[in-house]
Amino acid sequence: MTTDDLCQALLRHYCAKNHQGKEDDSDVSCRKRKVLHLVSQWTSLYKDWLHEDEHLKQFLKTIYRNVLDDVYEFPILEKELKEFQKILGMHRRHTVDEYSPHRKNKTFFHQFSVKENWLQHKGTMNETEEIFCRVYITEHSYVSVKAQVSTSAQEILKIVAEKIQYPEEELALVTVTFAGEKHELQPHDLAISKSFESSSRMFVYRKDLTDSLNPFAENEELQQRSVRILGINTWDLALELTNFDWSLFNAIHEQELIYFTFSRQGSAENTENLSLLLQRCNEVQLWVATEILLCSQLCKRVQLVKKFIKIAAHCKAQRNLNSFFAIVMGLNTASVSRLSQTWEKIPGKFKKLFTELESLTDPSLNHKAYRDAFKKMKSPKIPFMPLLLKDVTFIHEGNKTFLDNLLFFAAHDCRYCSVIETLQK
Amino acid sequence: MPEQSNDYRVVVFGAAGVGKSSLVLRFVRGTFRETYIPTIEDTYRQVISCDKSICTLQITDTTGSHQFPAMQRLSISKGHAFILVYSVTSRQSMEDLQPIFDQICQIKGDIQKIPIMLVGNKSDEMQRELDASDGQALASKWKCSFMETSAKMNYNVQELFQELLNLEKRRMVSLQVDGKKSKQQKKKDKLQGKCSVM
Repeated sequence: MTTDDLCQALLRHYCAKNHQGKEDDSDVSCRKRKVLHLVSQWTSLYKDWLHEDEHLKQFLKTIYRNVLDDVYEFPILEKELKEFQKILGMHRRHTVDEYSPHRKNKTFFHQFSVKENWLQHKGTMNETEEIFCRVYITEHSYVSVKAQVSTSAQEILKIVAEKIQYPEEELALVTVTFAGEKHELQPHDLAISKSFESSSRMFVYRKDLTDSLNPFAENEELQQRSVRILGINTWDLALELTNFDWSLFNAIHEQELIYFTFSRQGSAENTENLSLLLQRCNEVQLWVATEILLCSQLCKRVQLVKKFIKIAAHCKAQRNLNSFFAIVMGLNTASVSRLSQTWEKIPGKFKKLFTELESLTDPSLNHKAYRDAFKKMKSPKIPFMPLLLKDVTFIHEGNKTFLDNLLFFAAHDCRYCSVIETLQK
Repeated sequence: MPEQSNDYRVVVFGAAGVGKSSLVLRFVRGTFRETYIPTIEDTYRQVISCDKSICTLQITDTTGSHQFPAMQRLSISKGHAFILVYSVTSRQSMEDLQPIFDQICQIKGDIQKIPIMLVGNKSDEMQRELDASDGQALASKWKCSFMETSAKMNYNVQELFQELLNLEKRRMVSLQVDGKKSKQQKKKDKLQGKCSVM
């Protein structure tokens, strides 16, 4: 039975004149009371929805008017009337006397209509309603998007991607609750309702090749850095490194080595060039590590590591063992070797190449592998400076200078000679 | 996460299509967008270093079309500094700034304490309706700073935000007790022109 029908039936029942003539007054009042009771029960249950249904409102007004009229006849209805009034939110002061049936009271209707306006429109959101939603790019930065409630995640992504000028394919819409749970939205999900559901915020994350979602960071280092390196030819890069190293190496005088080791403080006046070369070695090492670690995208990082392995191989081919060592050491630093995901993705042949190169830097047997390889190389060649220095240092430290006031030159001399020879070559 | 309360909030106002979003995007992301997408309200957070300290800028990019006056009032009441943008190719856009300026005065009260920057964007365009002198005149009238920029050519964009921070520093400095003024003066001179964006 629809609401309308119910209203009609109740009204009919209420107003039914006792045609039969058999009903006496008490029955009539009983009937009316029953109707009123039912109505009051009903209204108290569905109070909120009442104000939306026009027919219902009409019905209530009608029945109220009728009750007011009837109260004169049937004072018993007073109680029901009071209840009814209470439910309808009528004020007590609008007593029967005021509401005489002959006054088509505007205030009465006004009451109803005021209440209508005052009450918020209750109901579910329409699908086509447009709302604003915030899509977060980083933890604290957002863009506002005007979209319909029924907009799919795909469309929202498109809008945001255009705004922040990022390729759409690389983005994913993710709902993140305040507890930190992330849930990626599929292209056809109803983005807005999903975010309301879990009381979360919408984030735009970067999709990586591995489908792991990376958030944008504030102050993001633009990817230009790694792109530049990836764009350079490996041979050229190795060549440049070698040239630079050679100019530094050339400037070193053999005596600097000796001066360096003899003076504990590493006197700057005489050993400038040597210090430069050593510094260079450190710099290259750290540069390799920094470049790799600064790269936030997995795929680019993998390419970068491959590139560095190639550069190291080129350096070896160009007989620049200084840079070669530096790059290999850079790739072996704790922070870089920790990147298991990156290392996993490196293809087999590069891994083999790297292990080969690493074996050359093997420190066992006093760097035998390196020394052999170095000896075999024809000049011009650039040795690994720190190792050379180590040799000199050990010669210096390893043999007592004074023993019974005799200076042990002989052993020193031989070793120094060999070291200097290698330098001169 | 809730907004950090120690952010320095900068709000960008201006007529529709003058280049507010372009300026902000150029500063935050270093890119320039040729297409015009009307903004509703975007907020970006950027860490910027100033001499030896760092501060976090929260830049709010507002709508040019006057659809949301309530949002505008809210942004003004929350903002610490304001950038009023007009386009040198449109005299109307400069005139549109007057009601916004009035509203800022009304809501904030004492304008002298608030860093406001008048910006003439699109300075790379050939067909100008307004000269730099017009902008300077308006700035003197309003007692605020003035700068011409071009988001397309990336001209004066970094300088704009640096200058805004400088204004803020100068303001903070002038609020110090008189006794310390000599030291502050020295500091002020050192601070000027040394901001760098990370």
